[in-house]
Amino acid sequence: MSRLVVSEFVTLDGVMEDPGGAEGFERGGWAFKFERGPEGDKFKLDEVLEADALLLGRKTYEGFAEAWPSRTDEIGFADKMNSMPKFVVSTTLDEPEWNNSTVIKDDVPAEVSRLKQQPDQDLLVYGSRELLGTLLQHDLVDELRLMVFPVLLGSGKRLFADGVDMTALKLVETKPAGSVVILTLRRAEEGS
Amino acid sequence: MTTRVIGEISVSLDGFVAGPNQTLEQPLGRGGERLHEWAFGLASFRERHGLSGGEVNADSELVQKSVDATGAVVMGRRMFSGGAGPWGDDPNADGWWGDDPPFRVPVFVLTHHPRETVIKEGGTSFTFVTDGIEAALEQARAGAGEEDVLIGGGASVVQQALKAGLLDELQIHLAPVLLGDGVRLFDRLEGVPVELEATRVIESPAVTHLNYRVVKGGRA
Repeated sequence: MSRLVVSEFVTLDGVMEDPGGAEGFERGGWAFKFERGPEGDKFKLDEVLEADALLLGRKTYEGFAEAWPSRTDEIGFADKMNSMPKFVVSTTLDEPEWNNSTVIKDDVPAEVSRLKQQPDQDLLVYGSRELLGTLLQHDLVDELRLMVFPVLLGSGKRLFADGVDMTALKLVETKPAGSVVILTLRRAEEGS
Repeated sequence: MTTRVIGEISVSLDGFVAGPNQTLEQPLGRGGERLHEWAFGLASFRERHGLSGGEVNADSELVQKSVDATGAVVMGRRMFSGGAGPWGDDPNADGWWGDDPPFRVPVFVLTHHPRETVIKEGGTSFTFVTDGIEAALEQARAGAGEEDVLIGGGASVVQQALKAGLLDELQIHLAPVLLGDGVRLFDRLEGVPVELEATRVIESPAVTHLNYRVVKGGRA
């Protein structure tokens, strides 16, 4: 069995939209206004290096596919992003252009379960709000990591859509990093 | 020591301070009591609610410190009684808090319906303020002396203070649960962004205590 880790940037008021500022959201770009310090950088690097593949929704995928292929860095983050396999969930995308990409067209829960049953297929999800809703609904998330940014944005798409089932989680770790806080959560054991 | 105005509230991971379907029997809505479970077993919480025993840990120290620093409390009508409208029609007009409420300082309740101040045991009084958040905070500051004014909820009172630029700090107790529905803490905040400065993070197994200073005049 492999693991599925969801790792998100989120404001204190729960907004996940356009942290990088490339999506044209008027309040986008908030993630780069705050320092996450060397601990935060290490956390993000370790995370991507430990993953075997990315699992992304179509919108997040398209944003990444535009930005990452031209990027390079000395720490190996961009290399890993560009070389690792990507699974993109979309009913409309036929020929994904980013290196090493596969489209998941339908029955997303079953397909993700199948991927997780393979060895060495640890999946990492960034962004992908709608996909996250599906993954939570089908109990496919093994670990949720939230990097909480100290700002109230006041508008924008929220990470957790209204109407998710009530879900008890367990805090695994709370890590302050620069001016952000990284929360790591897993599903609570039955009965807790 | 200068008086600070602090919004102090327990929130779910998806941003709710109460679940859906709030009723007299279930004042925190469906699932809402989960947000406060971290506090129920603490010695400092139990003592304030007339119970003995309980745990002493990072959470209880934090509650004790907050209690010690608080000179007045501001809350909304719903947090006082759950009701709305004229007091004569409120089946819980005496409030949730019993004869010896846990506050032990002057409490200022925001309401549209005037009423005489109610004095309870142990130092708690409830004064009903009908002319808005600024007036409530002004009275609370006067009542707090040099200690802090705590806004205990609900969400709309915290929002009003934020929008009026009168909130100095936020003390969020973030509970690791998704409620899916209910009353959001940060709603209807048009006119922000509000930049915050993380001042303290306290980790405990049941909850994460996140303290922020509101950066005045700072737009993110």
